[in-house]
Amino acid sequence: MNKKLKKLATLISASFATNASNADVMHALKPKLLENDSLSVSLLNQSVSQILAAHRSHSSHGSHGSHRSSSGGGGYVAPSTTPSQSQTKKSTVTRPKKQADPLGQAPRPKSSYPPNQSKDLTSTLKDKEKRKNIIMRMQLALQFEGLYGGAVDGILGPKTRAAILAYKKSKGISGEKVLDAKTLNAFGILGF
Amino acid sequence: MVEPLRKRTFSANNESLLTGMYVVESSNAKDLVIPHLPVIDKASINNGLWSSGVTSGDVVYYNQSTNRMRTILTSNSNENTLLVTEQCENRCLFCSQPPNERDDIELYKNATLALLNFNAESVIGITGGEPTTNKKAFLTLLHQLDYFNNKTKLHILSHGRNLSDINFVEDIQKCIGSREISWGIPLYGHKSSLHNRLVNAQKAFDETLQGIVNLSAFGQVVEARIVPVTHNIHHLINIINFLVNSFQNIKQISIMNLEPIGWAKKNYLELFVPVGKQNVYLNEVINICLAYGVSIQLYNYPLCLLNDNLRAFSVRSISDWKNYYPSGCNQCARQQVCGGFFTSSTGKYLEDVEPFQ
Repeated sequence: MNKKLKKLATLISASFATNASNADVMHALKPKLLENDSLSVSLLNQSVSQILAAHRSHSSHGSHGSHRSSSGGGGYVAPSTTPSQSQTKKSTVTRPKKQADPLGQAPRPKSSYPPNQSKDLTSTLKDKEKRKNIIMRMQLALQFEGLYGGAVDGILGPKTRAAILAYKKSKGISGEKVLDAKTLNAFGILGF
Repeated sequence: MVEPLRKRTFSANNESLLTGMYVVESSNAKDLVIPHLPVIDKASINNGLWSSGVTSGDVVYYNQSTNRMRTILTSNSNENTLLVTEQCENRCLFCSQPPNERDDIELYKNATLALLNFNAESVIGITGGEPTTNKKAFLTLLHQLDYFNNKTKLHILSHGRNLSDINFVEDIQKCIGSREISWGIPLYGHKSSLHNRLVNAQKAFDETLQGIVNLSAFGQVVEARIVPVTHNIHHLINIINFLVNSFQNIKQISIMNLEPIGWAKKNYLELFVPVGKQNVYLNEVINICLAYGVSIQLYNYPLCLLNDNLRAFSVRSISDWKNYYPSGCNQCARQQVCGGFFTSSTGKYLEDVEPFQ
């Protein structure tokens, strides 16, 4: 049991570690998870739907326990040589200490992170055309949900805003933001 | 042998792709004012069949867990069809796409996005399930296409029962604008007992007929579809007589040979009539249609099994991704013009062929 918890903690912290956009850490992380603990990996991945995994840039959020790449069966490529000191050893159950280091950080509490730290999304939303397109996609979906009767014009007016919030509520998604990664993921709108 | 197009999937070579719908890079789509799908570049599609498999402007769906993508709409297909729902009120004994009652509004959303992004003027089929089961979603789809000035022609495969509501047909008419639409409506009997039995639903016959009448009131064109099975083959002539005598807006009659898939597989022995035994009935109905000036087509009849005089009415397959030629056809001189069999017709569902020299 203790061991399982430890693994869980490792995995959660892994998501924070990757936020540092440290490619080496990513490389070191993946194979170990796959080899040593595939059960835990798949369990955690299942809790993150494909849609939720879409905006991976939002990894700072604690609820994103996993990353796209670890679930993309077949898409995984062997790690580069840089972090592979530990990997050169034949894979065994024991974990090399060196590798555990970056992952060993205790996960920081959610509250210390602003909910929308997504660099990709922020820059996307600054692009007027892209922002308009995202809103149009949402409006179109909301029309089919029967929550929005206005025009699909890409303008985030009060009706659209209210409809998005109603949609979030119906999907059980918390928060009052209408254009954060969590919301876009709920709509299944991929990054642009 | 023609490979079924949509059976062919493509692998992706871009690790950052996410599950969802994409449009293959296309220069002319950018200027459109529509809700755009994300663009996938050619380099992300890992296939040696670029020229025959997928083209600029095609709409594809990528599945991250399998790292494969399949085409949704492609200009390489002779029949593009979008599934908008799996729900249906009928329970046809030979249903090829057995209904599913779960909430599948996502299919409608995706179909609308696909149509807008594909932006073709060619005919695209709308199928299900029953596309009009969710009336509001159906109207929203038509309305959005109209709103974004999309010119796609639609062929809608519907059991027509919901069209018995004249207000609904009126609403449809408002959303259609100048769009060309044709309705494919199946009628399997000339009387309610026969039709209702085959579709396993009460009131179906009356509602379907009322639907065709309502479409007629708005000048909508209907293609009547009949699947000859054990129960109705003797009445084929009656069904056709009824149709051509009663409805002005039925411009075409399509006789579809049983497709051994879905529930038809389960009920195959009960339903199936060999083509050799259908010939005499087909001959009768073709003469009627010729006399009334209604066009008639035979779908999915292998040419060699039809009587000589019927072959001219046979159409080469329903959809390119569904047709198939068994090895006996390899030497056949007429394979290129023959509909062959359904892809699902293997083993016991296959009739013996007689290749043309």
